[in-house]
Amino acid sequence: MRIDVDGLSVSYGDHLAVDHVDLAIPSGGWLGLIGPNGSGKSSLLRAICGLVDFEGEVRFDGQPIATREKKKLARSIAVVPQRPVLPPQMSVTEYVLLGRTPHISFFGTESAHDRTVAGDVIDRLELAAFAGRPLGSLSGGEAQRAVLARAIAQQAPLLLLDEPTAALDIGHGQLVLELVDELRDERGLSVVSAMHDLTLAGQFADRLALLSSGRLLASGSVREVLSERTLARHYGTELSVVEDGAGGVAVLPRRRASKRRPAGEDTA
Amino acid sequence: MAVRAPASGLTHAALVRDRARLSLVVLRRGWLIYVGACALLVGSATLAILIGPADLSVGTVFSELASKLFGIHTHVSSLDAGIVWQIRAPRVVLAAIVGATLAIAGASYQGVFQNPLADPYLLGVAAGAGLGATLAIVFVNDPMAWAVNPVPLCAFVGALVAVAATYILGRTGGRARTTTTLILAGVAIGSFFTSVQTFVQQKNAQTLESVYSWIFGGLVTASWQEVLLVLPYVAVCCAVLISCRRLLDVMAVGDDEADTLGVRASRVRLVVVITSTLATAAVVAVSGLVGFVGIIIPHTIRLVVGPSYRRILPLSVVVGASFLILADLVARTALAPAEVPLGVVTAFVGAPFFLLVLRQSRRSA
Repeated sequence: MRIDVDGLSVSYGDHLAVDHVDLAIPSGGWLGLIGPNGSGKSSLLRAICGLVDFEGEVRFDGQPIATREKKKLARSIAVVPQRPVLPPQMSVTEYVLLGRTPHISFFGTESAHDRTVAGDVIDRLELAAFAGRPLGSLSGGEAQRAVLARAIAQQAPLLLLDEPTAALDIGHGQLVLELVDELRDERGLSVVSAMHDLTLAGQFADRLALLSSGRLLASGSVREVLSERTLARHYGTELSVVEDGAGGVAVLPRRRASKRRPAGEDTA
Repeated sequence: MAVRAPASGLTHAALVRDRARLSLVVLRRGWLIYVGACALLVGSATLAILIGPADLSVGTVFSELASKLFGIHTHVSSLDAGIVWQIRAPRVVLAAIVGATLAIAGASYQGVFQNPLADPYLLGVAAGAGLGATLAIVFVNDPMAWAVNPVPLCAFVGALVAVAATYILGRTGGRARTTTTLILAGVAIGSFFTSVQTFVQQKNAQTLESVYSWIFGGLVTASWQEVLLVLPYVAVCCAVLISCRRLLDVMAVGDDEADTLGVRASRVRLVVVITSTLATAAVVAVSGLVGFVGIIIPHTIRLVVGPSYRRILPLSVVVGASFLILADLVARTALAPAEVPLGVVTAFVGAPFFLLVLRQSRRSA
């Protein structure tokens, strides 16, 4: 599914969080949203999935979306939130089945088909061994896979990820993104992710969009956006962009010279 | 990278088989718990019809019930028949209806507000009904002149007015209205209505006893007429709430995530609040203020069957009904021939029982 965002603005009272952003995500593409804290990444994601009011237009395959029709929207967009609410006593299976909600009528309950879909997703994400366990007993990596499983069970063509690796260590973060990439291939998903880790964003997304103070400052291929000059200007710090040896780039922070005088001079 | 390794070399087929077996066990356990709950209901109803000031044999009771329910001809004296069918049976049925409604309404409120202490009383049902009933008792000089008994009618209206006021007051918070502002509004409205009720009651001390006996709850006047009065509300409301059981599970992930799953949380909350409030106002109108049922029954069930409302809601109906039948049995037999107010019994039995359940749950956690 192709997604076009035209002149999208989000404001909270007088504060303009997203300012006339235009984006295009081709079907099966992965767009990484990057930018410093408070740059409007999360607000942009919340606007696309209809959680906040916005001006402008979001189109799926050329059709403007009506964000008021929640159920229809949820059949098109699945969201992995930054800090998902995980009811500690709910089992993994029950939680993944919640992903079928947009396919079930208001007063209805799951059909055999819904259970099959959820079961398949649980198998695919290798959660079968925890299927009956309560969410409260899972590790961070397992919990994140359960959240991803719920989103995949929605069978929506667009997947929005808000900081999917924020709570994970470097290894589990990598695993989750690899899994998203595999699922994207298998199911032809389009992915939009907001990410703080610029190296991971560059390794997994096809294209990056750099936001700062709500404005879109750069968008394009990974190498176009991840340039030392652009990043230094908008993150306000010194960064090195180096070849990672596997055809990609890695972004490293560079410690600035200390402003303090060398030790010993204070004691005079 | 242990996380992605297949679970101890199990094949896919073995996993599917294991899961099937697991769900069968869960299903069987689920089935047993419903049977147990229904047995509890039948047992407590039978016990409550058997016990009372007039000594009736088991045979007499069952013969009379069989004759009324299945039209079987029996030789029960008309006096005994009257005690069974006109005095004890409607009281047991009314207790069951009141208990079931208070329990399912409490469970539903806890689901939509994600707050373990929420129940309809919290949004002003109790205070509103109390004020309505007090006004009716104090100011209606000739209740017989009314087509329906004014006390339950005014209690019903008072309860609905109080909850509507809470909703409107909670809404003035604007877009930022959260469940917390609604609950705070409920506390404010509750205090206001209670203060007015206390004022009216103090100004009219001659009616103090009637007001108190209504407020502490009881089923002394139970008759088939009252059963028929509340049954339509309760039946429709319970059906709607049980249909919402899956949505209440979705609400457990919070309003925003429910929204991204296609569920408008505010709409579910409104449907559930209106339905539960209507049902609670209807039963409170005939029973007075019976406290604690909406909190202890759902929590006890939750500790046994887990957090899913698919099981909590239907079980609340059955267990709530049984609990109130037994509580009413205690209310009319403990100090016989005097009656202990029903609300006193539920609180007296309920509070320590609740503490026990909490202790047990902490130990098993």
